[in-house]
Amino acid sequence: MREFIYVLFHTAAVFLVASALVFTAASVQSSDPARALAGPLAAEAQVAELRTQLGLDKPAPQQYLSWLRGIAAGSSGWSAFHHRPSADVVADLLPVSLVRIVLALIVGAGLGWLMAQRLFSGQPSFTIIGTAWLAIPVFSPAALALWLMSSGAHLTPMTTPLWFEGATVLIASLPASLLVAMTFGTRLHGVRQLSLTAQYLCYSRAPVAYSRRILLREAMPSAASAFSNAVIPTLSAVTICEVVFSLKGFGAAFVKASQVADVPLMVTGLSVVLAILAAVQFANQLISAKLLRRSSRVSY
Amino acid sequence: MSRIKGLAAVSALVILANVAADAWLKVPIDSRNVLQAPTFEALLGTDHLGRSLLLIIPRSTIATLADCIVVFSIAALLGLSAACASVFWLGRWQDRLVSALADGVRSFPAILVAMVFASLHIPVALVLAGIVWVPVWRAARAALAEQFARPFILRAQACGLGFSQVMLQEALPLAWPVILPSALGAMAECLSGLAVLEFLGFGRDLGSPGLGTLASQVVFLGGTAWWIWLPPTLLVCAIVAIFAGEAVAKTVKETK
Repeated sequence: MREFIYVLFHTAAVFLVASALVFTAASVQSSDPARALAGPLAAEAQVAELRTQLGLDKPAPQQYLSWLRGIAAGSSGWSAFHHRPSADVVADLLPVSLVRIVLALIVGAGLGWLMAQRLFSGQPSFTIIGTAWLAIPVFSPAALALWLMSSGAHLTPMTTPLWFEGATVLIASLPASLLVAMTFGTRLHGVRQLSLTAQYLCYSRAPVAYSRRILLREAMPSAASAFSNAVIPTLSAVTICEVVFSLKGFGAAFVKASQVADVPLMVTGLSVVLAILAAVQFANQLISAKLLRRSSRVSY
Repeated sequence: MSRIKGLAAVSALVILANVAADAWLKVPIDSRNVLQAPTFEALLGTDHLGRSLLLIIPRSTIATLADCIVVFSIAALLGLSAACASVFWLGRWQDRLVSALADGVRSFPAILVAMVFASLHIPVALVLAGIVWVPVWRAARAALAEQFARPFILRAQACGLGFSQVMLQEALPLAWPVILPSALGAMAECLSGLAVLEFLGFGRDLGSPGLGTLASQVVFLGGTAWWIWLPPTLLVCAIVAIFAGEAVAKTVKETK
């Protein structure tokens, strides 16, 4: 309960500060969002009407307070780019992206588990390669995949959307799998040493099965934490994949909203993502604590 | 010796960046040879304006590296200043406030936040520096706090040596080997972040493109005309991998 209140309080504080910063920045920016939305050919009267309609003629603190009042009343503002309430846009597109993120994490965890068991053993060389791979820009694998598909298999996003959906999930799972694998790899190195000692001490009790049990119980809390840490890089990777492969989703819509400075959609999208991340963090804390309690009860 | 080399490299990069800034205008535009694949006449091919990529890619690399140095300098300054403040008020509310701020910054999805602020015409360098200072602060805080707990520093403080004097003369030079790997990691993060933001349309435009801007052409060209976006993409990966690999190698060496 205490952790839940802490996460809730932390998220609320960060959300208030971030949204206030966004509104302040939006109010001091040199360009006019109403002009950008109306287009260069629109008459000044039309732009002024749009500005009043969007509430952009009010001072920034008033805009922010009315937006907060709207949030409290269940209304998140009007997305001028999509011509719909921003909450509706997020509600339509976020599930699509969330499915991709969850699939990528599942594929990533599977790949990570395999890599950790077969390849990684906490060796510095693997850690160096893994970190260097994790650091490279997330668009690189997506760009290379698009090239390979268009040049080798003559596929385009328009002709074979299902292929590209699959490719997106696979590419988006790469950072997740590496994070999971690296956390596992480091942890497994220690656990293997422990299991060797345990096998030596308890050789009469089916050592292989015993070491697997130790492996699972020791490595699982790390897995939960790696899974939670992998959410943010996977979200970025899915966003990039949606842009590169021209897929419909929250990430692509968020990039578009940022390009046209659609403030209500940006703030609503960011706050929903923040809430989801807070929930993931809280679930991770609960699961890790439970798994750690279980593993501490095992005697070697 | 290595410091002199580093200083010389940074100075050379700044000079080259200045030269490159002027040289953008001198890259000839040839509308007859648009999107030409690599040949003996144009070794790396041409872009959508018929400009030779042999001329553009080195300039883009220098421009991206120069931007990266600006971002890193701001982030390092922020991180080190915050670390000094944290060590000065270690364990008190000021230190806890900085820790909470750092946790808050890192709990956000960095790319989405950077896009939001970049879209509001806040300079990309400031936005990225506001995110990347955290690892520098974290490493510097831990290393400096460890130094300040050492007996000879405590004795020096007891003898009346001021905090800033101890920090500059003793703690910071001794903590530097621990801070350096994090600084290199932050450099890799700066470069990666800059490239991603350029890729998404924030930052440099096609008039004077960075490596990320060139790489973003893959979206508009649908994966065709590989000579425009593939070399910059691989170049970014290589540079980032060098920085990140070096950071981890230094950490491993330091741990041993």
